[in-house]
Amino acid sequence: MAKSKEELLEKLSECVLEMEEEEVVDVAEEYIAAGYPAFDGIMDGLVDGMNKASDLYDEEEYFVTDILLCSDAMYAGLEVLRPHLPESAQSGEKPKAVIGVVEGDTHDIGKNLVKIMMDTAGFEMYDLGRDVPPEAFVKKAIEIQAPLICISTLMTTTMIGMKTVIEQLKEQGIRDQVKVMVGGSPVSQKFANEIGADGYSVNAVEAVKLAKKLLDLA
Amino acid sequence: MRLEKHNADEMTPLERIYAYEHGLSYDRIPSVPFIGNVRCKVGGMTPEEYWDSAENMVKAELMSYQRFGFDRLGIGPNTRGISDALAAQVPDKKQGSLVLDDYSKLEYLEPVNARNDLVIQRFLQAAEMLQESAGEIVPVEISIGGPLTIASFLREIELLLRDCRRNGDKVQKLLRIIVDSQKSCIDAFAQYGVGIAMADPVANPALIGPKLYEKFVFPYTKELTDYALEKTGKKVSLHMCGATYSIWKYIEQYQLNEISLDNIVDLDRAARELGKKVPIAGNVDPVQSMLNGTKEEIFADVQKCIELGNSAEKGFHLTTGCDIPDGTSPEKVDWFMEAARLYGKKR
Repeated sequence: MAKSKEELLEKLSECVLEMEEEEVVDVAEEYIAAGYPAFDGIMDGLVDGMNKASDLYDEEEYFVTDILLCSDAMYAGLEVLRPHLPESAQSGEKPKAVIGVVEGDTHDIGKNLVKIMMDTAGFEMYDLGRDVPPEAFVKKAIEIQAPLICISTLMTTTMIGMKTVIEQLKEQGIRDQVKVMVGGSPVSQKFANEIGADGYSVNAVEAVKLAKKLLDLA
Repeated sequence: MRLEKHNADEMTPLERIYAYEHGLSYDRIPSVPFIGNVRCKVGGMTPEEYWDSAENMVKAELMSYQRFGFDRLGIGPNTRGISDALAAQVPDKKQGSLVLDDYSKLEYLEPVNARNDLVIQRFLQAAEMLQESAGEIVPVEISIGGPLTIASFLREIELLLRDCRRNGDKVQKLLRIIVDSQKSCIDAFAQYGVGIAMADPVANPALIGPKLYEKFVFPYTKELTDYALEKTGKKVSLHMCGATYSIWKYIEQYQLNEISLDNIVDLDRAARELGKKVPIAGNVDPVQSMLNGTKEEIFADVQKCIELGNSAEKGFHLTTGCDIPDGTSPEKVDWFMEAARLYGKKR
């Protein structure tokens, strides 16, 4: 018997939360075959599951390992659903953000986690990867007209690169158009204030809240 | 060169630690700032020059003791040396953590034989020289890293973390080889009368959580700490990064000289809970206080840590919450020790 839309949405959400990377593909295909809208499948199914995972992460029930596996399932489901979005939804204006780890540092778990969480929250993320020179952040932000740059580092030796990004935004005369948020183990609110960043967040869940606040999003 | 007691202290580190552990009168609390690459600066060399030469390692360590007078000398292959020694076995290996991009390459790996290994060799020489020069007055410890962190140097960490769930048997197989390599190091270093230090940042519960810690970290760390005690007669000093509350129930089961705690850990709670079972150490902020702090801020942090830590039933050592970052002025370490001498006097 065909399952109802609600049943399938719940199943999609559960597959993400339970890290079922293969099953989620079957369920997503079943959902599309039944003629239900892809957009709801993404928002009320996959993203709902990822949001639940991030709540559990916040409550220290889930850990980085779990979030990585949940996101694998979410992205596997997205692969199936995304092509079925109507044109208008695909080109819909999402808030854009550039993200990367500063030059000299190759640790990027924290950055990847923030990227996953912001993806889930509806941001269009431009990931520059790790070991990224300051000018690359600025160049990318100009190119895609992103109102937000997210910079991370694990190492104290590279922290100063964050300040360079902010200085270069000033030199380009666009400091007032681009918000800069920073994070990573050695970074603190105090440091963020010192270098003139717009915000600091202590973890990936907080990063989403901060990003929304900085861009005045609900 | 033979080390002598530091001018600013009344006791040598060995005398102090003995007195502290036996409830006798002592001059000040045992104090070990984890000075990282500051030792290279004090020794007048680059980190590369330090890493490549046994003589330089010994020189940097002895000069650092002479300047600061801290209570433990530390060298060793650490995570990097042991992962280099293992990676060298894989033919046509790729760079860094891509050595095990495919688990079929596990078949190339066998436990490192520390006595014959080219990478480990210079650390053995350094251990012998250091113990000879300093062993009569200050404990010498050899760092052998931590199993899961060594694994992350051989396999990309995000893959490794997923593997803990999806490919557990492969991870266990890799960890077995790593742990046997570390045990071979313990055997080889034990002959010089030194102790063992471990640190396993990737075993941080924020990354893997307590359940995976129980499965992939606890049994191996237990095995290594027991083995080190048996072979060296000394308990291991263990450092763990992160908010470790959820794994204290495992940590208290190890035989430890100390568990040194990240600066984000509440030292008051650690002293009351964990300090009942094992000696604790901590946790002056390496970034806010040591790298960026003023003299007053370092003094205040040291004073706070001593006040909170001192109530630990099994004992307390003053340390930093992690390695002091590159670029920290050696003068900051002078202040750390000065504060330890001021606030750490036995009352």
